[in-house]
Amino acid sequence: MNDLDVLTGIRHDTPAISARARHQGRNRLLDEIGGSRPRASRWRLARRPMLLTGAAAAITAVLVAFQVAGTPAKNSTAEAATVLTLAASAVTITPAIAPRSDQFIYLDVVHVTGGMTQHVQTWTSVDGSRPGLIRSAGFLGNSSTVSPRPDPAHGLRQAPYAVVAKLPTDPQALLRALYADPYVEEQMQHNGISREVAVWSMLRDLVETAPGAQKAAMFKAAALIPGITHVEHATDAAGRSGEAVGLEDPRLGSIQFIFDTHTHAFLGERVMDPGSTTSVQFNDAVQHTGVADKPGVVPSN
Amino acid sequence: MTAAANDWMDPSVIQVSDATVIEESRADPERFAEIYDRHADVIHAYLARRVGTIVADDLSSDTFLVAFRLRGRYDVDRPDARPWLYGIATNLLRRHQRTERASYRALARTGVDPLAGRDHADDVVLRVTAETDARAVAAALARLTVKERDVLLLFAWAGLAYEQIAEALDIPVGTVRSRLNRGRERLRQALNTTAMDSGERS
Repeated sequence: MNDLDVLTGIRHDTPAISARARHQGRNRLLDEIGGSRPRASRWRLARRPMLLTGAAAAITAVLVAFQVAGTPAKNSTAEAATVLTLAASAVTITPAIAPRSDQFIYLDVVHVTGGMTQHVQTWTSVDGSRPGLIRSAGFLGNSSTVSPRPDPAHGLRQAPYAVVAKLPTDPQALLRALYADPYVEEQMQHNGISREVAVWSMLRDLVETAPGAQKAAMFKAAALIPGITHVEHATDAAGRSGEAVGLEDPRLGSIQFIFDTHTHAFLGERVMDPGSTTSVQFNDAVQHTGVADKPGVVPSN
Repeated sequence: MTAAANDWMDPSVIQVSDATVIEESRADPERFAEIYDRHADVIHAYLARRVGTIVADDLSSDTFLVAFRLRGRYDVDRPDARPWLYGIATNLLRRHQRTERASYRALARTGVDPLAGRDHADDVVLRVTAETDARAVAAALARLTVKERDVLLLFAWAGLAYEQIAEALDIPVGTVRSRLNRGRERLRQALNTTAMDSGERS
């Protein structure tokens, strides 16, 4: 045997890359790609820009958090629609006091990806007339950023509370409005996703802070989207367990809304790894919503 | 993306060179995922052989992140991106030199490879090499300079040609040849010494 034969024999049986490592590597690359194109990244679609442009920059070994998760049953669309209908009926339609136009909608969400946590608080002007605030803390670092006034050209996703409050409360009419939204168009074009996935994904953003009547209508409208599936067990980023309704995109994975099984309250969201029913890419939990007089002030109620 | 997914399934499009994909990815970044799909396996295999599966999981992923950021500088006259990717991977390996060298030394001394891969999900297979030859070569690998080792292993383990190694490491082909010769010479010396030792013993 010559030197090269011996050398080639060493570690010749090194195992090939595991499917999981390959998949994680690919997702990290997609993060990076998404972060390089802020206007049309998949991350804007997948989740909040504040959190995720940061995620794209973070070169850390990301371990996908494996969670006990349910398997979507076959033919579970009917069940999924039921869960959404129950969620709609559980929404409190009349708030004690409607927010004033000079106030701010407060939202506090915990995001978990790869076992790492980012806590994001946002204050958004009720009528869109003044800048808001985004405070973010966690594994991506801490930041406090003034958010610009929403641009109507970006569609309903950036729409202030006062605009969302004028959306139709009839589910069919609401769904038509959502299907025709510029943000939906933009996402379809840039990410090549279906109109259904784009609408579903935008709903994820809207339901968290929408006025009660619209929020209920959103759940009812979501129930009309073809292809939704029911997931029996799902856990939000705060560890609260419930059930979920998901819509699958072949590239983004299943995008799921998590609801409390008993109260039917909306808890949070998760996005699964593409093709997986058990491996979670992103998980979040709505911790608190409210109305604040000023950005930076956490409402007590 | 639906269109892109269909493109990937079209055999005629698969034949498009890496250079074309990288060039397109400058305007359409998502195209770059195809570079990963094409080459992640071989880059990982090479890295795993040098520093073990666990480190390779991270480094192979890093390789493509770095490549994506550097795609603007890719020389599109080079249709095959593999030498470029191996070059990036080689740079990333530098930080793990000590681990790598220690593993060759351990293999040489004990016959047990500390970086032995996990062939199955839960049992770690200790690869015991009784072969004195392999142990002698491992000892020589530990003693090579980094530059010699890079060239030798890109040749023997990654299977690159001289020109590709030159491209990967951005050095002249003549330098590749001389480093490879020096590296192989050291391996041969180590093997001869072992042969003489065992000859004396028997």
